[in-house]
Amino acid sequence: MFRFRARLFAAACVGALLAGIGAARAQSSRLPLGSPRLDVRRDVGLPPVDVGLRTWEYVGPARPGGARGEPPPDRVIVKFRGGIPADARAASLRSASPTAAMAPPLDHADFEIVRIDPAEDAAAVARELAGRANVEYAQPDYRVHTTLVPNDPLYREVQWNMPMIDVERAWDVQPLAGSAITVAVLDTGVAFMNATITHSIAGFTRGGATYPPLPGVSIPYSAAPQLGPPGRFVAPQDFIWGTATPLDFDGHGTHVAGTIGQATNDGVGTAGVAYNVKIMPVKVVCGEWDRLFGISPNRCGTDSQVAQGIRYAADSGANVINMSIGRSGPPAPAIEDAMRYAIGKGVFIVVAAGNEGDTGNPVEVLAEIASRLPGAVSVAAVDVFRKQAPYSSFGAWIELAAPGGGGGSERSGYVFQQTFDPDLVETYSAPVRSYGPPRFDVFAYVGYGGTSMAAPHVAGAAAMLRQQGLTSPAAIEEALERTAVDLGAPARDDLYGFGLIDVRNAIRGLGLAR
Amino acid sequence: MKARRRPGARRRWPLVAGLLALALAAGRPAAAQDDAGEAAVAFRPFLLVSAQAYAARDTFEAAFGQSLQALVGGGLSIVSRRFFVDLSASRFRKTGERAFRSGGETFRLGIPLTVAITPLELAFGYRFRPSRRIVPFAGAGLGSYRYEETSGESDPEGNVDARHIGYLAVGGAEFLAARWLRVALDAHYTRVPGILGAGGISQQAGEDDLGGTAVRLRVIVGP
Repeated sequence: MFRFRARLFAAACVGALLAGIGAARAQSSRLPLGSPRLDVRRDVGLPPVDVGLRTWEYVGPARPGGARGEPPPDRVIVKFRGGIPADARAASLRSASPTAAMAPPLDHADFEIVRIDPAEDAAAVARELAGRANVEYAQPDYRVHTTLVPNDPLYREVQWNMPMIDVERAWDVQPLAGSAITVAVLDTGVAFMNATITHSIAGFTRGGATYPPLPGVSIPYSAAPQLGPPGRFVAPQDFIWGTATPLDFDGHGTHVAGTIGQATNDGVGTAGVAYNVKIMPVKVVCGEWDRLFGISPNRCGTDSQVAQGIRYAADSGANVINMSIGRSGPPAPAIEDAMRYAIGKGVFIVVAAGNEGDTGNPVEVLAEIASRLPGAVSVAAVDVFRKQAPYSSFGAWIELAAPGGGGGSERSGYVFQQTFDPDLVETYSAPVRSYGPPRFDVFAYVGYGGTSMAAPHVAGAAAMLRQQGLTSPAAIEEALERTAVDLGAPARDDLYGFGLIDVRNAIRGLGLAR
Repeated sequence: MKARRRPGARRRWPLVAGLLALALAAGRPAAAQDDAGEAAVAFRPFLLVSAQAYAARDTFEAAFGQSLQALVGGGLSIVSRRFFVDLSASRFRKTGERAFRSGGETFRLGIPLTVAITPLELAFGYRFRPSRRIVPFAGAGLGSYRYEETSGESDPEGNVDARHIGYLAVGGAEFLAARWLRVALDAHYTRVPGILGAGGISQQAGEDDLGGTAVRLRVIVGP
């Protein structure tokens, strides 16, 4: 369940996912006799190609003003010259600022801290003090930020979403960023291995045009270079094809996995929230190519497959499950039972809140379940201005908000991660004369928008919380909600829930009095 | 290589110097001797060690693993035959961990949290059987309690530095150990509202009292 502003790309994938997830009844995950099978040969093929940022989808949304919008300093550092008596110091302070007050002395400091009213201009007060004969120097007490601002070149250029949730300072607190934690990505699969797929693709009709069959084609497939080495992936499972090779034929799952744990500070591409987590790819929904490869729509993203995926992840050692999927309609007791089972095994679950806020806003069944379970959360999307994304579903089931991009407005940005180059995947959307087999070995940094993109921010944060010592799913939920930045109406509301997650505040926990 | 000074050490020497000065002043009666040769009013400096069970039990256990903590300090006791006034300063300082509480469970997060509590207390009271070797006493009073909380990060935004008035009651007995040396053992109850309870673990735990119950041992110098 996602929304992104790719030209031809969007409709096909949204349709594919929603149709798949909304499919009817539960069936066994085992494929019936005669079901299509893919000939997947591991580690065969050429190295992947990274074509860089897909700027045609990105029209440069501005970052929020200032350095993370922080307030100006309300303290001034002053070093008086030696031998200046206390009354002379006090007189200097009074003349520089009527609100100046000396703070208690600091350990390991040969200077004084002067508190001033936040409404005053700290720089002006410092200048005034610095001009006095009895002052050696004076300066506003500026804040020094995290040492870890990733060197990934696209981080500063396009990843407005990371500073928005204060993850840089969270990395400072926890440089390991979830190294002991496994996050299961229940999605369209993940580009986690190199392979060559040999398959015959049947012809089909689309938009009134007939596309010819493609017999015996070889399709190159590569692991996403920025998702890290093969050892990073644990217990992959595919509940669509019934295999242990949950290959992403869409790009959605790979993008989501990137937000959770893209390789970071390696001088390449973009960053992920919990960049050292282990990733468990669990395929429970289809992309368009899964259907074109022969999977029946009735076997794409059913409740039973999702429930199986949840239970599988819980049984296989996942600590966090990200579900950037959803559906509206009747209740889903099988999924609810599975979620309760996973939470009971200590797994924290994140569910996208839905992208139908501007199209009827039906109740999102999976998100609504999450809102009732301590240890699972539903996540709405905000744009670069911390406003509710227009597509983001709203209602009593919203618990948290995270960056998802602004959807229709070019200024409100997208969430960028590495995934397949859509031009080489969505060949089914090309004119018939240029139709050909897809390539899953060419990657780009693509901007997507949607609650699908918001949810993995929370999953990454949950992984870091888990690593920091919060081992109970309910405690993780409580910590995220308690430390969220309240947006919209005071306290919990139906647009943002408890507010925008603040990763640093969440993993920092609490002192005795604050 | 220069020796490194322990954090906080700089702040303690005035307290120690003050106590030494008081000790030197001990034994100088402020008033004439009474008929029995005992000072009508005497100034007696003392050192104290206190084992305090903080009322905010869950809060302290979350950060430090236990709510029973030690304070050290000193003060001056001004005694007449039947009454006393005690002025004391003490300090608790300890580094634990930031934490989070949920569903009655505490999760310690491995991030250092240093708490310092500095009570300045004034107590008034009554001395029973003042001519015996064992002198029971009881009293009450008030104090100013400074609370400082800092984390192991350079960012001071989450730090706390607050002071609040609290109330106390005390009862115990004083033992004559030598001519100029007495030992007092007492139970000391404090109630300090206004610092805990508005945020942090204390808010989660629903605890708003920085006071508690302590057993104090005082070594008193003087007649």
